[in-house]
Amino acid sequence: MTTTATIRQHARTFPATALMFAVAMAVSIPVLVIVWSVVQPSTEVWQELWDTRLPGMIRDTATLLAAVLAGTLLLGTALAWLVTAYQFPGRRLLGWLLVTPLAIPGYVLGFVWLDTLQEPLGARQVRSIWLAALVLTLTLYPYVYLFARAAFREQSQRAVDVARSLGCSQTQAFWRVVLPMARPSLAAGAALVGMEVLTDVGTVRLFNVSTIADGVLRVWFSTGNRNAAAELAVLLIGVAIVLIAVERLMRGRARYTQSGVRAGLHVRRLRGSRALAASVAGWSIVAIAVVLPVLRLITWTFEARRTDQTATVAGDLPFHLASSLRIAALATVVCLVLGTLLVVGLNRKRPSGAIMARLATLGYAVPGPVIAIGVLVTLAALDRSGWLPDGWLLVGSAVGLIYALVVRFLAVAYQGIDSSVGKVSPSMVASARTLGAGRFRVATRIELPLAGAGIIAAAVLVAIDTLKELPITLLLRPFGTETLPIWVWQATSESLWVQAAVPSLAIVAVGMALVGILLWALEHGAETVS
Amino acid sequence: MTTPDRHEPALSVEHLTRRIGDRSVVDDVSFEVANGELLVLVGPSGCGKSTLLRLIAGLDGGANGRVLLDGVDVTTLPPERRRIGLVFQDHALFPHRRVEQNIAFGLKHLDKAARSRRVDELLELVRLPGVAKRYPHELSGGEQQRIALARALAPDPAVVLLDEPFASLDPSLRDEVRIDVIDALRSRHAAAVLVTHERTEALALGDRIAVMSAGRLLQVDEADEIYERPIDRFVAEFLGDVSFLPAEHGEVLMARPHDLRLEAGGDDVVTARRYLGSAWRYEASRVDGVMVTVDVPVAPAEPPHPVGSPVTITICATHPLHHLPA
Repeated sequence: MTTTATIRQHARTFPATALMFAVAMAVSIPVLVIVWSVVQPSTEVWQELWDTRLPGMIRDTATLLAAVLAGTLLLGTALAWLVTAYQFPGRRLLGWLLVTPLAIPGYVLGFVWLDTLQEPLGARQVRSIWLAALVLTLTLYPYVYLFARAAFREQSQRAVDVARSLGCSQTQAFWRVVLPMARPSLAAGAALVGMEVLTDVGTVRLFNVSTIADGVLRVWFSTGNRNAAAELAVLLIGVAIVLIAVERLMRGRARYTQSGVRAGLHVRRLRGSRALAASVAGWSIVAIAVVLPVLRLITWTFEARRTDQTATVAGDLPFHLASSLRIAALATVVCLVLGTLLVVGLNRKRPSGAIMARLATLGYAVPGPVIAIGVLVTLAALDRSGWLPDGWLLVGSAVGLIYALVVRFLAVAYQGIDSSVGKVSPSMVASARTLGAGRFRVATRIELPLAGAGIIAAAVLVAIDTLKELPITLLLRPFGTETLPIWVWQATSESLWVQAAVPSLAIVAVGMALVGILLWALEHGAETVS
Repeated sequence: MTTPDRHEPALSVEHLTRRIGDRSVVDDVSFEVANGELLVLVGPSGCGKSTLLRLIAGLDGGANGRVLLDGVDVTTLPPERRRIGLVFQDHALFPHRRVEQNIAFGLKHLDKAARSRRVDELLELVRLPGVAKRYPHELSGGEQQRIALARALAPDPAVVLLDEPFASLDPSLRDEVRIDVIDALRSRHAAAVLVTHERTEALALGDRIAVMSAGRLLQVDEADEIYERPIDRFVAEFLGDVSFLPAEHGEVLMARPHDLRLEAGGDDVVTARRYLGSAWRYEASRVDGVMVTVDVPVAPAEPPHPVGSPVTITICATHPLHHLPA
């Protein structure tokens, strides 16, 4: 914080401030537009929705959200505790592999398990909200896992020692001290999970669960009514805000950071049957969330090659892969540049800076379909305004798609960069300055190398997110632009699992490579996700 | 100082040994602490003091020997069933709990009214009434340390163990907190073991002092006794500046800086000097090559002896000097 403050002193010139302001406004307008639409609600649309699908949508969204939150918190925390508090054979490798479900989108894991369970459960029973929740839990728990692991690693054994001397057993100390102190991290992980659940359209469609996000998509594609879709989207923001507010309120004035020596928790060695049980628990999660699905995708891919189903009308794998990578790369670079700019340029100690930072990272708390609709409304207004050169149309252009992706994921980049730069100690910067290093040299020689791993981690997270992204791409892609997730979406909506396997495997392969880089960055000192 | 009643030791440690690999981190340590007594455990960093505390508290296993609390063998009991209070250097207050919740943490067995009465009583004891509703981060360092003591004392432990409790405090604050903590311990008549690596703190605090080095307990005695009559050169040097003068039968005479006198002129030479406020402390090289440390009370009329000036060193102690093996 203080470090970035010193950078800010040099950046706080008028053009810089104006630029910050422009970025913050550009990123927040699509969200604000949606919120604004509540002020003039179209009652007839609401009336119709309320009479038909809305109660069901709200019920399904709430059920799914509660189930996935409970599931990911339980699974993510338990696994994180397993690999931080205990030593058993293969623990290190398992610690890494448990992150890999991050590379597998819910809509991919969903159709693999849908097909596998269709036989034993029956075609109708398999499409249930509980299976959808299970699939989402298995793909999203790594968010909680990463946060929880970092929190447990930071804790000091001293607190546990004191608790034990005051009459707690090992188990009681976990519930009364270790877990409560990890709560903000767990909440941060759960917030990301919640946002992904509210955003998801691919998985819920597979399992016939009609959530609000799904409703936004249906309203948009069936009626084309922008306002109706926007108003439905507001509901999603409402749910997101309630989630975040509840956590904040419960936390109150309490703090969770420990002072003093970070001795780290004592690691207990498991032997014999207990070590075996720990390994089995961890590996079985890796098996059902990663190994088995990937093997299934591979066999399907061979089948697709044999039966010549490795292409769509629009093009083959290289074509889809290239456009997916192009979009992900472009969005990631823009997020990184803007994120760095905001971290360096904003002085959050001043109210104006704090507000701008908040505005620029609003997208974090806003589900994808909301942003897509918001961007649509904003761009349509711009197109109508006549400010643009003749013949330009932003709606349905690549600019619109990248814009929306940046709005959604800028916060991930910003928070990653901010926490890494914040770790560089002010006295280190002061030492460098007094040794004669200029502002630029301090940034390139001290701050960026030290924050480097964190910045890479942030970039990788944005890349993984954009690579898997579905709702925004569905709503905003330019005509003729086909990404891998779109291919999966189209194939799975017609239950063509074999055809969906080829692009799915490509997403997973690229995702795994990115997760590999993320793990490297985390091992080299990057703060956890956002 | 209160005289500890000796008939029932609150804590006794018998032949405690903890080996890591083939190194003894704690090596055959035995001592007793009486009710109401404060034993200060002092030694250089890494000598095994903290490990010893952890063994007494039951936080680490794998030791040989016995630990008895109020005459009961607790060697095999887990920490939560030993009735031991712990205070750490970083105080380890639970950051997510209010002060009152921190203090009440070990009072689960009491009902709500009794618990809050006890919390009030302890806050009174550490002279911090009115902070019950605050969170630890809203207190100063010294206040946090006093709350940590209150928390440790709340369940009425048989022994309180304090691991470098004042090390993280500002020096200006340290004395005040130290006095408060000692007062609180005394008024509960609690037995306590306090670990420190600072000799001045050790001398100022304890009823008795135990000097530890390389896992072994070298000497346990009252402060003045151990300062004036240490068992060997290591203990003598650890507790303060000292000179060793050659004597007969392979022994040396131990002289503290106030046991010697320094006068201008002669065959000895001043090699360094340090101003202590009330005195000048000189390092001098005697004509026979022995290095000595001498205190000379400050006399404003007389200018101090410069480094390099010729002086004479004599013994001025009125008591016979203590003999040590060379």
